Amino acid sequence: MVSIAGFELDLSRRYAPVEDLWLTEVSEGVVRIGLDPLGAQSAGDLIAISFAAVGSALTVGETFATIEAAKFVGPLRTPVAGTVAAVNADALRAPATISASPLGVWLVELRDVRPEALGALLYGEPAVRPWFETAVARARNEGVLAE
Amino acid sequence: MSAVFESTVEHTERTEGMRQRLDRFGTSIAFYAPGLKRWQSSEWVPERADSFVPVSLTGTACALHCAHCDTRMLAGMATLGPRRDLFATAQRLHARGVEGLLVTGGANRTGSVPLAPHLDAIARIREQLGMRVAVHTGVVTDRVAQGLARAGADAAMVDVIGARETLRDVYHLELTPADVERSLSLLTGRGLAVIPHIVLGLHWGRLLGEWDALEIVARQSITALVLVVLTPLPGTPMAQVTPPSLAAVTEFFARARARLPETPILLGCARPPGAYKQAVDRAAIDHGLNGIAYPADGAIDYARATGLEPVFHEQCCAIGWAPR
Repeated sequence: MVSIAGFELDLSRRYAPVEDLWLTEVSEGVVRIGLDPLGAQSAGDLIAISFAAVGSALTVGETFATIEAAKFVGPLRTPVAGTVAAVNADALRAPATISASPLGVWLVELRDVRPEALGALLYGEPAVRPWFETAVARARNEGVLAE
Repeated sequence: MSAVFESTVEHTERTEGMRQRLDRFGTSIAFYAPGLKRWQSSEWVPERADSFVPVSLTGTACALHCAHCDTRMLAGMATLGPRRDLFATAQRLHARGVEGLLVTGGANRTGSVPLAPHLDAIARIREQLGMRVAVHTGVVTDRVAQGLARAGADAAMVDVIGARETLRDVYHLELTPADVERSLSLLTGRGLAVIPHIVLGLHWGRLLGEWDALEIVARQSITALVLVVLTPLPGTPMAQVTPPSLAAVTEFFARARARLPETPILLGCARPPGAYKQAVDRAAIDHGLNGIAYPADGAIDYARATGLEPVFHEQCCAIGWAPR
């Protein structure tokens, strides 16, 4: 873990900068996706989540979950194509845990994810740090983050 | 605004509330997406996420720690910064395209939002920046009510609590419903557009003082009434509370419509999510409410199915009814 702009990030994971998501590969072609700490904090307290059905084939940009939080209500869109292999039932039962520990709670597991799709995501400190610092600064300026 | 599409939803038989609203207000129903949060539904993706922004005068501080909020609602609002200058904050937001402010905050020990030091700033925000300003007041003195009127505040909003037990046990205030009514009276007496809110289920999920609150607002010359439903928030003493039953909420909608036939009644920002929200929104449409903030998925389609004509506003539902 490393601290960037006041947030703890796990540099063993990949990050999707537009969607504010993290991804980690659990086996070949299988990834788990969760909210990154900036996404979680800017959404505020999460009070509900619903998931795409297991077995759904998703293309890039399609909705894998819909969340309702204090500061954000809307879809979470996948940055990689794949098929929903599993959804996190614990997160469904207790969505507040996502806000409390965004890196500790995965949301969906996708299979059939192509390796080149993962390669397009941010990985490693030289890529992650500048993006994240800029993203946090922008969020503060736009008032998305608590001042 | 979402694309226009044909409705595929069946709707139920027309209620008395719907008949009343059609007679008095016609077929238009308003949907609102203020910039209080980033929001979109399957039916409507607003063009501007932050056209109307809440500013907390107290940051995340509040002396009351009400059981349903415990300052959680203040998190994420714009703040005054180290200069404590509301006008400077408004300038900063105006520069990024914000068109209106909800001036709010935590309250002091007497249940008032500390507006008095900011009255001049509110006047300047309206006059120099051309922004609309709605204000959460809490309980007010006549001096503050007069100051808000002089400043030209577009709308004054206050939670109306009709049970002393709720004031004491939820808001931690040693006030009575008569004190709340007095504040409403002071605000309306100064000619402000007053848009009270009633929170259904505020007493740990139970409707207790809400019926009396309805009578209080019915006695005052209000501009519109906003109804919201208790939403148990994580991290608050009410996190595990069960919201009021749909039957109770629906009954309240129907009685509010009957009691205030000439007054716009709006379903405000807060209500529990998911299927509950969808059902509440349908009940609001069925019983003749005039508008809905952050409509649930399917609500717009349902409104069309009842013969209503949706109109979309990216602003606070309360300020939409305040005269310019």
